[in-house]
Amino acid sequence: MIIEVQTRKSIASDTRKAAYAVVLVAIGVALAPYTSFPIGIAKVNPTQHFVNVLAAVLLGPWWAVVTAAVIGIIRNVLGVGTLLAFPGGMIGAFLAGLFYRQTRNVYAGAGGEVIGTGLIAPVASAFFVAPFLMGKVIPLVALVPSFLSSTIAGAALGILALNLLQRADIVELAGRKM
Amino acid sequence: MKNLLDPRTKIIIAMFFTILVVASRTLSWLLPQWGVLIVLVVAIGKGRAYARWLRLSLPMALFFGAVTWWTADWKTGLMAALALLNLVSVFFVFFSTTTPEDLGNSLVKAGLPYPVAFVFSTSLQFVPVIGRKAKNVLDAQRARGIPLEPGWSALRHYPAFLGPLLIQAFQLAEELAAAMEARGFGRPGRTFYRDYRMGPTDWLAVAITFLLLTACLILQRM
Amino acid sequence: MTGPFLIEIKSLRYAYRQSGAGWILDGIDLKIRPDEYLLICGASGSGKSTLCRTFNGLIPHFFGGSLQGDIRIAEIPSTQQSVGQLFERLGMVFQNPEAQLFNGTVEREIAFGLESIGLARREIERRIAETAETVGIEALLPENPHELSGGQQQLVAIAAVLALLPQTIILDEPYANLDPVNVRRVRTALRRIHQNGTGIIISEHRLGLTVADVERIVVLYQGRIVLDGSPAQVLKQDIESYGLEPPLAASIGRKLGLAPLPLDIDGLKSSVSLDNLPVPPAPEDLPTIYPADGDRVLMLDRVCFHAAGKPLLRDVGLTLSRGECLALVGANGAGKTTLLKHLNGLNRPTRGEITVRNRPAREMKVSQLARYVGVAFQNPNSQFFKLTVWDEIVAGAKALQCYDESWIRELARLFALDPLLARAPYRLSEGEKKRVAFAAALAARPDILALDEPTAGQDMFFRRSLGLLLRELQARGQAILLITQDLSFAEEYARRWLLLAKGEIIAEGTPGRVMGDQAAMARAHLEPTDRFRLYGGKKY
Ligand SMILES: Nc1ncnc2c1ncn2[C@@H]1O[C@H](COP(=O)(O)OP(=O)(O)OP(=O)(O)O)[C@@H](O)[C@H]1O
Ligand SMILES: Nc1ncnc2c1ncn2[C@@H]1O[C@H](COP(=O)(O)OP(=O)(O)OP(=O)(O)O)[C@@H](O)[C@H]1O
Ligand SMILES: [Mg+2]
Ligand SMILES: [Mg+2]
Repeated sequence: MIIEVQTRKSIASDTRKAAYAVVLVAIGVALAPYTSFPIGIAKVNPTQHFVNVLAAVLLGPWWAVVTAAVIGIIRNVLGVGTLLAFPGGMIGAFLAGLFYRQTRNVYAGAGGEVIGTGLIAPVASAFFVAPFLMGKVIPLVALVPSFLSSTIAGAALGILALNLLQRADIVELAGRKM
Repeated sequence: MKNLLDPRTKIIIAMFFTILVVASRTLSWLLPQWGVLIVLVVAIGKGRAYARWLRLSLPMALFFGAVTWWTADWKTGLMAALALLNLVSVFFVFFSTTTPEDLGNSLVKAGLPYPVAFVFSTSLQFVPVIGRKAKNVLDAQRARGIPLEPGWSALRHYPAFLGPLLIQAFQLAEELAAAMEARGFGRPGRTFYRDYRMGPTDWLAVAITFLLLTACLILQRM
Repeated sequence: MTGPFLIEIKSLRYAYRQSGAGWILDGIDLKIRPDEYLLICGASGSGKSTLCRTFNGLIPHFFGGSLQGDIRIAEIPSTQQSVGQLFERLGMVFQNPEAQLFNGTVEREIAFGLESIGLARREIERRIAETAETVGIEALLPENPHELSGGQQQLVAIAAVLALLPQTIILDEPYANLDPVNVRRVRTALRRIHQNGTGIIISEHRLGLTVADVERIVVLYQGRIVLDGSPAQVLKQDIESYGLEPPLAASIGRKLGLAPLPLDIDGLKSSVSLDNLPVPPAPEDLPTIYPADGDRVLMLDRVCFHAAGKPLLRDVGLTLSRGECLALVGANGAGKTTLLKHLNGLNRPTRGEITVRNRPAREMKVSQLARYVGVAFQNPNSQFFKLTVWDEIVAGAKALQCYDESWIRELARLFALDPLLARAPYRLSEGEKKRVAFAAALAARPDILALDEPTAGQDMFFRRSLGLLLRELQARGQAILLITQDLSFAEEYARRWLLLAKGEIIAEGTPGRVMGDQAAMARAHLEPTDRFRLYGGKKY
């Protein structure tokens, strides 16, 4: 008997998504020392945002949230992350995933990350985290510029990386518009 | 010590402690809490690791305190720094007594989807792997004259770093996925080698800490 | 009616989805019984890994692509069984230990598959203990698999599938990257497993490591099975034309027409007296260099290096001159790569002095040293980031501002890269990637070329052409440092050896002299080549 099967490989299966998430988390944690660079007096570390964009585009919003959460936990355990960045990363990852899913456009995905982590997260921290930790709502809006510059850098790197991976034929973004 | 309590019990206790930290508004409450945490750390024999870890976490707490001071006043700032330090110390104690695998697997029993728990318990394994690959890429590029020392100049050469690293990382992900598949990752009906059950000790521990928490909260309000 | 076959493949053709290369497997007919010890061999790219993936359903279920023909596992078409159903019968050990060990401890690593099939706790415990004993890794159970040595990792990976009591286990190049001591451990474990009644399918292109163990050899060439039979039957044929190097004993036996064909040196020695042996083909005459001081391009003087509180190099001294090929040989973890990184400043010695072209390396930055020392690291994937091979080769030279187009053209010709220049480097075969990395290391016309394990995982075609290339470079006055544990390659192409063990140089001289120092070889955990065992030190 001769049969012929034609199948497409995709990141769709749970196994693949879990494996990609594992590796993305490892990137998010391991790369932090290599990717920080100074802007003015502050040090900016765009790795987390960069990984968020990759996870959002490749794995979708839910897995992106898982990835961001696990990165946050591990970074806190290792003493290299801040609790403040923790909810922010998750919001950004989710928005990025949602935007990408709706538009199939990586720039929209990256935009979701910037809006989520750069703008919504500081406000959310100000209203939800700060009262617990600091006893009052304080204008964490002061953090916006630093958050924003690091997310923009991270999102830009994310787009760059996706381009590169696609050209290398490592990932395939179905129906993707540039 | 490690397996005295179910991971879920430890989560509950850690949550109680977190509530206590968050509800504390004065140094006279926050400082003793830190004291208790340090005693715990020493009791589980992680004093050294904690000291090393503090070196990394302290600046973060101080920075956070400074921001708060700047936007509010110094007292709030100091408290914020201490509260943050206490919170992350709870994290530290929790994770030095619980392996990610135990935590992940016990959470599966509490309803977490297995793939999520898997990511959680496995990722830590691959951090050094990616770290090694990153180091190799840096070495290989520097060896042929492409400057990749951290800083602005490196930014221009970023593709030389990220390119090889990501391509290898995604190949690793593919291989990992194949290996997981070939060991039955996606197969339904998974059992767990380690048994996660909340025993009498667990309930007792939860009850005692709950009482302590309530007592502290009431005392604080008086 | 079918016999008691575990795997039955009929006129199978397969192509990966992306590759425009056409059929990777092109008409395979193969039947394997459950208790066989089978070797699948073939040149690089002949389809060994691909064929292995069809046995446990990864092809087509995981990789996709197009498949024609019939694969039956235990009489059921594999298209009707998922990988999750097949893995109990056919365990697979992959080539890269890093990716296939993903649990926190060895114990959990073995437990993972058992948990997947839903065994009870007691049973899992029992099987872990049993398997650990069979494979001989009881002491490792609480360890983190990623912190073990390469050989131990292979054993853990084998234990992890063996615990499932499969009928057959499949191993894809289990000996790649292992030194002789580790190879011996894994081989012994495999033999024992086979004696216990488990079938073994192993893919490998270094025949010397396996032919004495296996019952049957299948030779793949360009996606087809060209030979299939017992080791003696297969080795009687001319397998060199398929890119395979027969073990020395078998090739001599074949020339002498010995029957039965000896498979290893001991077998040969017992069936023919040494005096009747043909004279070995003399290693081609190499220019013997008596270095004048001016020709000396590299000198290490009592270099010590400590990292993480451990001494990794101790009093290492060496010299290298123009036109010389020096081999630095040593087992896994001896410190070869660590030493290599000293030459271009990636590591700085804790004590001692390194002189490059009569200047202290200490005074030079990495980017300056890169002009004089060209290094190709073990894994070429660590450096590819350009879209074409050409850009990749010139990237370093451009960054160092010494780009010379005519030299690059020359390099491309020398390394036979002309047809590849416009292709994407990360899409090439591993052998082609290595050649690109070697060319890139030479792009800035360095005085010294250092190659880290250039032959690891490469087939005979590649090794031969690399050897010729090294000779040509040497004749042009290039100083070459060859870092390797592939002693038979080093024996052929380097006149002078340094033997490194635990960060110390414990023997030095011609290959014959170094291999003749039995105490040093034992300390270094290396084994002499077949050729040395047969002819002794005379022929060097
Ligand atoms: N996952 C994949 N996707 C696309 N093409 C692949 C994939 N794996 C292998 N190939 C291609 O299939 C062909 C056969 O590769 P395979 O890995 O089976 O060879 P091999 O005999 O195992 O070689 P080696 O000794 O180098 O491991 C090669 O041309 C390779 O480029
Ligand atoms: N920077 C470092 N810090 C700590 N240990 C190190 C460092 N670099 C290397 N080592 C250790 O030094 C030992 C020698 O490593 P090296 O990579 O030089 O071995 P090798 O001879 O190249 O082996 P292989 O054949 O496996 O490539 C290893 O045990 C390694 O773990
Ligand atoms: Mg292969
Ligand atoms: Mg090495």
